[in-house]
Amino acid sequence: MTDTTPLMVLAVFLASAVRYSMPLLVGTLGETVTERSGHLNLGVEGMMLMGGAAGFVTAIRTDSLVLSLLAAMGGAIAGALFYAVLTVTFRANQVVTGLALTLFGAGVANTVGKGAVHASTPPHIQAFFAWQPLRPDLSAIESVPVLGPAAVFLRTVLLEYNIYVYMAVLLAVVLSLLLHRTRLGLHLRVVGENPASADASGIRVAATRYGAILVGGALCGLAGLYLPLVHNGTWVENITGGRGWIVVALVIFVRWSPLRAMLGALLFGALEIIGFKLQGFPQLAGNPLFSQYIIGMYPYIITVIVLVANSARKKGGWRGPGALGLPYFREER
Amino acid sequence: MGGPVPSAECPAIEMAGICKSFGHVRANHNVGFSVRSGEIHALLGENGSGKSTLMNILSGIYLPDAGSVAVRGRHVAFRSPRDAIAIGIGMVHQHFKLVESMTAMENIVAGTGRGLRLDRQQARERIRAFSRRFEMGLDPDKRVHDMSVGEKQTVEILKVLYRGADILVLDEPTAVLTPQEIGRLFGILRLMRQEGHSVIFISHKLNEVMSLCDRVTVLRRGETVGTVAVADCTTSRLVEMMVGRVVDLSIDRPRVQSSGLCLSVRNLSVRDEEGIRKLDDVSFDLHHGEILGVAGLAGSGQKELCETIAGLQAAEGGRIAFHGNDILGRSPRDIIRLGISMSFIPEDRLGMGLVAGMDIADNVMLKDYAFRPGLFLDRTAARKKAREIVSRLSIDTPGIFHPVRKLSGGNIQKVILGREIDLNPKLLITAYAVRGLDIHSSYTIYRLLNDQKVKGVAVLYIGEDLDVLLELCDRILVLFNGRVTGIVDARSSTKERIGLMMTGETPRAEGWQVPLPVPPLPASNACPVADRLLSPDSDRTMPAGPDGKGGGPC
Amino acid sequence: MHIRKILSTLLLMTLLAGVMLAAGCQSGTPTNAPAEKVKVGVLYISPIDDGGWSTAHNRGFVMAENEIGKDKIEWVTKENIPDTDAAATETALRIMADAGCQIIFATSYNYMDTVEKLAKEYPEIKFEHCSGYKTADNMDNYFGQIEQPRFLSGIVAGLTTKSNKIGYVAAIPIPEVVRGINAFTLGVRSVNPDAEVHVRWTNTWFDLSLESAAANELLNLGCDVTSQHQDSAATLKAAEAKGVFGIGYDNPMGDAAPKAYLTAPIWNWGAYYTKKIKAVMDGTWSVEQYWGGMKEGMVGLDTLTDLVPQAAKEKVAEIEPMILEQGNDYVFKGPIKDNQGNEKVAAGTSLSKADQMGMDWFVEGVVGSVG
Ligand SMILES: Nc1ncnc2c1ncn2[C@@H]1O[C@H](COP(=O)(O)OP(=O)(O)OP(=O)(O)O)[C@@H](O)[C@H]1O
Ligand SMILES: [Mg+2]
Repeated sequence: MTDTTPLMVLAVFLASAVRYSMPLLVGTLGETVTERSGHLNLGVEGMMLMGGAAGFVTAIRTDSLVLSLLAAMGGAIAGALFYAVLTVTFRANQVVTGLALTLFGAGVANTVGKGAVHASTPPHIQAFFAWQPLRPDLSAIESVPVLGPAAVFLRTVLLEYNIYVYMAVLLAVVLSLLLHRTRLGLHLRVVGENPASADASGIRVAATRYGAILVGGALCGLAGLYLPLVHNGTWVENITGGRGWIVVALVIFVRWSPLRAMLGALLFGALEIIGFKLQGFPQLAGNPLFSQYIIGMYPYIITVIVLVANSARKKGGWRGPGALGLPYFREER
Repeated sequence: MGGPVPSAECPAIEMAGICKSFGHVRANHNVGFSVRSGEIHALLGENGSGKSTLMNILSGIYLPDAGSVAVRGRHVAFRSPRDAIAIGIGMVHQHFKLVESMTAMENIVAGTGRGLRLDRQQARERIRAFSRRFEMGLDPDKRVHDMSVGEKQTVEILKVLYRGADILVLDEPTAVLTPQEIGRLFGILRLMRQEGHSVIFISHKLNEVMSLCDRVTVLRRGETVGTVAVADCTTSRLVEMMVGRVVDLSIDRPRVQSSGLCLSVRNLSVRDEEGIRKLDDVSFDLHHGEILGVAGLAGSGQKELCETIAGLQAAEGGRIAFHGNDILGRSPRDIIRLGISMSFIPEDRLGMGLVAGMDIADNVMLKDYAFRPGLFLDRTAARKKAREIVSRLSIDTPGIFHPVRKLSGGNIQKVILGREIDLNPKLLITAYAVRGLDIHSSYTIYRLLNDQKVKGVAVLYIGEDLDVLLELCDRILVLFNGRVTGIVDARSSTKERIGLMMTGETPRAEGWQVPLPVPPLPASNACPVADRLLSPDSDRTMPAGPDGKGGGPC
Repeated sequence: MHIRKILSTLLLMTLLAGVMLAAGCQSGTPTNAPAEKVKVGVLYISPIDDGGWSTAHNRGFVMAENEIGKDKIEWVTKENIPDTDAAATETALRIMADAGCQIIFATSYNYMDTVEKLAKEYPEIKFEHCSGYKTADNMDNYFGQIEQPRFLSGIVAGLTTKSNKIGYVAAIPIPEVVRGINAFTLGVRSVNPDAEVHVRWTNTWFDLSLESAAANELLNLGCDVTSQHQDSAATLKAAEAKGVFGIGYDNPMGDAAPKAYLTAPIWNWGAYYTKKIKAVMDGTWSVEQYWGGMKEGMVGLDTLTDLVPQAAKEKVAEIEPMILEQGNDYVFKGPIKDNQGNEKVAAGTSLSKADQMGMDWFVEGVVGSVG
């Protein structure tokens, strides 16, 4: 039943890391879009929760996947809109507003989700996400020496995912192209680097920022929906368990790149579960480096290292959106 | 963009009754300003007179409090720079508005065109075509942070041209350009004029205005003084209009009895972080009561020279002796205590030595506090000093509690220099002190430097304007690529000769004073007369010399 | 500019007020009514609908309310107070004390020191602390011998597994959890000496994703029955998704994973809570350090589902009376070896209560390490 050759153990581990990385990846893509516009939205955790609660409650009430997705985006967009109004239009402090959004989002989500605690994802949505659209049938070659196991390995690592996973990967690629290859992306980056320059070039700074923050919010909502609807199949309070904060760290870790976000999320997703793999090696038991508590800190430790390395870059190197966190007043100087 | 119809009745730009205040500061008050098609129109005024404000209103960045703007006879009310761009107004701002991490092409293309698709190849071609036509030689794929200031300026100008702007506003474009670059820019502007476009040109260099422009409008304290044709006008008349009274534009050069050696630099070599040699075997002497000018193209090692003397940069080899004591390798703090004061006005004119968000009084205190005992700051004294500096340098500010960031560019510089002089230094290093300053303020600063010289202070003056160097300094050291090409007597030298030396020609002809090689330093720890001559009120004690014998005044 | 500042401040404040409201409206479960009644405070570590630990306690309080009468009790409850946050714990306890509670139940281990501190300050209030060991004149502790139903659930697991690999998702390496794993394993090995119990620590009482990650790791190892010392049904769900079986904890958990659920060791706090609240009303409250077992009805094994093999049902029925009679002495009866092969309990004796309380080693058959 369960194949325990080292190769397959590795394959199964990688595949589960991919599954665990999904909310991180989609959240990171969302926050990357937001931060590229120069706005640091620390409310990712709050938006993920709002999206997750709205989407999950809608799913169990209406039984409709489409409505659930829309609700997840809508719920998170509501939070993002609040943030955008405060920080773009009223130029409130972004850090404070983001933190407030985290608390606010958790409060609203937990209230909305009260009725859904212990409810399960509707069966046909469960079935939809159990579907592995790309999984090939390998029974013909499975028993061929070398080739068989290799094919099964690749299938396990690459092709045994549900549609959410493939969509997320596609999204990362599309966002990367959008950011670097299109006019829209150029405008977004200019706004985030130097809003005064964008403004003087005739780019609508506020509108671009609103757009980026709301799109970022919508993606955070979809990231938040993954946990209750797809991954855990049920809702509980604070279901994100701090993943929103990991996302904030990840965005820095991958240096605002949607493509690198896939690798970064995979790494952080693997860190989330690697502790359980390591517990299978009793000889590591006493080693504090591998204690579950320390492993939980690795994402942050890695991010701090990256931050330090980033700021130690030679002058001229890119250190992230130039105007990140700064409000823009056209007439101010 | 069809060619505009040049017509006398319908000016390209007509601004009337423009008012704009920032808090209590009236930047523009009832300003009238009119520009014809096919002319280059200069906008003159002292620092803080409201030139940039007026132009920012014209380009939609500031909303006027009152007044009307008409473009080609049609009334307009811009709500954002977009509106101004759409109607064909392009502005090159006083401070660059570029994205450092992006390429020239990305900076130029941003904000233009519609739709999602970005045709990089086509954009590149168009930029190449422009830069060929105007002989600018710009690489579209070079990143802005790798560019010299001149190149950045080129990008700013191309950005405006690329949009097919019909009315061009240039806010002090020449402040940071080399003479060659200025020549090229003027060529472009004349071409624009020929094609019937209007150009508004802001500069503090009156000779540029006289040679380039057709008409001049002068602002003073936010109000229009008048508009005159350049042909019917003289430089001194323009200065009179700007300042409001006749100003003497000669620089005097008092002869001061040489009172001893202050600074000796021998065989100084410096490399930057990337290992590129910035100073190569530099040697010179600087005496008390003397102004030594430093001339050279931008980036010839001026910055490194200042910073090495001030202790901010490590040297690779050589010696620097101050009053006979070696100061190389000492901390900047020690060096300031010794009485060496340095001010450096960087090309962007901000961000060096001042905290932009703090007010003038706090900024004055910033440099002073380190040398006062005790935990608490003496605010009363700092405020008194700040008031003194403001009045001595006639800084245009509502008060000493005004944030530095909100001052006009020129006034910010006065604060920097005033603070340095206030420390009563024995050696004063100033680099580009008059960058972007109006004529009146520049002369105020020359006068201040002369006052210091008469007091016996040794002054190292790093400058750009050769005319000024020749008039103000006693001797001029010329740098080229980090090497000294010569040290000449300013009283007997000419602009042409120095210009040649700046491009690397070593002087050979007779009559040029070349005190190279410089004699080696005296080995003894000689105590110069200078110290006794120097301000007897100087109460600063000198720390012990490296030999522990005490290097104080003997 | 000023209007902007004011407006944005106002908006931020509205937002924060919203947060406060959302956080503040944690309802006390049972309803309130006026008149002469006893005021009872309850401090929960998680939401009462966590489906685990707090749900089990809440079940107990609902039962007490039904026994004593809705109009006789007024509740002051605080949910979701992390027991690792001493400040939050103290604030919550003070609110209860100041609200005039006569008895306060603190239902998690790490509340202990804060409870002790407040017990000194409020000598007239009776404090009941669950699962700890400290006492005072007005501070009692109580717990149940969940090892007994755990042993029985081990029998079920041992007779259900085919791969002879059983997975155990464990929360935090403290004696209480270690004791549970050992009791379970002793039950497994009493019927199936070849079976192994593989342990994964999550270091959290409640985190769906981590619990399911640990469960999946065990399932990937080839375990075909899971057990858990976690408060959520995530492990059961993971087992169900893999098409194998699982044993729950705290409460009957059949609804969460009907295709996998075998049974669960469950808590029945109701009788104790009824007794203690009544005692406060009568003025007969005393410190008793209650440690109830199956006999007292404080703990029990949920009804075995139809998924449980007949042989297991019979074996449980056979052993249960002995446990009712002998309690933990039966569960920890020698000879017991630890999983390094050292004899820990000699034949003919049982592990002492003190040794049970401080248990920090695994019995033979457990694969894994403590901590
Ligand atoms: N955004 C702003 N906020 C506050 N004060 C401002 C602002 N812009 C300009 N000012 C003030 O308005 C006055 C006019 O400034 P402006 O920049 O127009 O002068 P300028 O003529 O361009 O001077 P300079 O030659 O030094 O560039 C100055 O006192 C300046 O401090
Ligand atoms: Mg200006």
